[in-house]
Amino acid sequence: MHKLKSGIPGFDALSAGGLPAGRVTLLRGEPGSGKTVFALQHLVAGAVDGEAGLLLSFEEREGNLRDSCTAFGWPAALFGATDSPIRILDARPHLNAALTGAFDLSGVLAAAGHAVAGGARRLVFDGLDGLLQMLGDPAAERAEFARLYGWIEAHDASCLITSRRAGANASPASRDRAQMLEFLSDCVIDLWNHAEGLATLRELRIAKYRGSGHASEHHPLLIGGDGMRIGRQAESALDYPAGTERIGSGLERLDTLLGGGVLRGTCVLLSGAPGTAKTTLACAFVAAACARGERALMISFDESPAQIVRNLRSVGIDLQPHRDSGLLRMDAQRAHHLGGEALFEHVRRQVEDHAPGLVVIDPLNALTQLEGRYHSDLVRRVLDLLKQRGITALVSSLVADADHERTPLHVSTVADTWLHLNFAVAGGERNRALTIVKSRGSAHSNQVRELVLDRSGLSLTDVYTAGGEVLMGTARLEKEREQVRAAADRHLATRMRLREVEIEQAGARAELEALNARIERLVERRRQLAEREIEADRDDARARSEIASARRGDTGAPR
Amino acid sequence: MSTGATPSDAGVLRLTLYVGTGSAETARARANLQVALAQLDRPVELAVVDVMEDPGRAARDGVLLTPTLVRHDRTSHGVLIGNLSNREVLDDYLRDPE
Repeated sequence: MHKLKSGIPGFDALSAGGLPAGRVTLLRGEPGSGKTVFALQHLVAGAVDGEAGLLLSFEEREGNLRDSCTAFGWPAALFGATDSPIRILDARPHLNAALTGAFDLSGVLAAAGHAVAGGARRLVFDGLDGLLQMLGDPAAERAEFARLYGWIEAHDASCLITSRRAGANASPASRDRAQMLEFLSDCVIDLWNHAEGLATLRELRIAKYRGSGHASEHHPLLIGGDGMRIGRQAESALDYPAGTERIGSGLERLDTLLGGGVLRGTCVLLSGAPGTAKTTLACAFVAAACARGERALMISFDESPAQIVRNLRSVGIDLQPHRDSGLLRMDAQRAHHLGGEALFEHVRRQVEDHAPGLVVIDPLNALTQLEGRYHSDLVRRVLDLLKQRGITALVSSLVADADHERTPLHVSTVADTWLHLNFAVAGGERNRALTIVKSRGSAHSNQVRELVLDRSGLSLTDVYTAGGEVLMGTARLEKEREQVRAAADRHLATRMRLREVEIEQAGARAELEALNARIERLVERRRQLAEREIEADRDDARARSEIASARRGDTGAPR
Repeated sequence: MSTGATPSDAGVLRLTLYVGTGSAETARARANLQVALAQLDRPVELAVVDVMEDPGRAARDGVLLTPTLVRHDRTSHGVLIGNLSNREVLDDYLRDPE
């Protein structure tokens, strides 16, 4: 089957290619559900592709339709003049007309035939049910349906008919009409428009598509500044780039604990009770990113950008220069005014416009608390969107404790890094504790650190443990002072002991010297003794020799 | 739609009947109109336009439902749509106001 591109982004994916060419498509919906917008946008798409079209308007003033087109920014050159590719014909029953009996739609078909002869390939019958209702007689309606059917068969044009939907309380005539319209059509599309809280939820569903496969569920429909689109377009699964680059948080000690920083493109969850400095910590990351020349986007649901900038200045972080330079975009929204799908679109558009490397969503609770059937995976979709683009996501969440059960819907499992902030109460003080609950991709300390905020910024302090207890705040300061004192005492004691040892050493050296002197004396004595012995022997020998010479002749001395 | 006839010209009544080829209502409209016109005491100029044969005309004149009867003297007369079976409305239309 040949299909026409619908001109509605996302619809062709649902309908395996678009609307059936040369056949009839029926668009059903209550007033305000977007039927005419769909039809006009379809004609615009055709005109852009070189296909002329005609819209026969049975309910709306031509001026209103033209205004809609202008409001959506569709090229004015496509409409208006008699030779424009799109013609809008006011087919409303004449204002001053009086009904005098049965009539038929010959004129309608004549006008349509004329347009087709003139080259129009796309026809829209906008509000046809109203006109048929005017016939006032089921038999007449059936006859006109047959004529319309015959005409469509005979002409080579693709027709789009819009009509109200027959509700539960519809009259038999309305129900018959609805059935006949459906029978006439190869493709039937339903549009809805409900209020959800303060927001509007629009939906589309392909109810029938003869001869073609199609998605059969409800899909969110969005009407934005440039027209209509299907929300939730096909999102690829689990296809993320996985890098190894780490980006800094602006807190050196935190980076060290995280193995050098947070892995780029991953998701960081900052949880904690109100007032625990989640926003401040997130802004530290932002400031660090901008200082590196990176673009960042901060989406805030609670505070205005001005408020955040002012608060951050009190801890020595100035975001304004980054806003001025264009690196940082701060966007503030009231989530419940937009509704789930529109919010996703808003985030997507912000991300595409600004192309950030880091996105902060503060707090994420704003997304999880939205009413509606789509919210349960709104968070996952937003995080997926960021992950696919390799954008590092920093999301803050209001929770009382770092308990997996109480964190918003599986964000804790989706997050790659989870930092929890809470107040530690001890010694009459509340100090901020930061716990690294999870840090995928890096080994991390499982201890708690104190997060200190002061005029010069944020920092993590070393941990002091005394008797198994973590000390913070003034208790920590006291402990630090105590430690300094203890160190001083130790040094003093050591010096004293050193002195004693030196003295002993000196004493020992003196002893050694004395002993050496004694040895020398003894050595000398031995030498002397030895010498004397030798002398004595010599003397003896001389004496004997003298005696021998005096007694020469009568001693037995050998000659 | 007005052809600029002056009020004092109570003479010729100019009418155009727009019809669709082969439509049953067209036949009835023509019949009903003939009956009504026969009882009028003034000259009538009746043009019949077949929208299927002259669709451009139909679009230009803003006639999409047939049969449509248009009277060409005062624009405030409006038009009649339908097969003209409602005799009272038809007579009222063809009459001049007092």
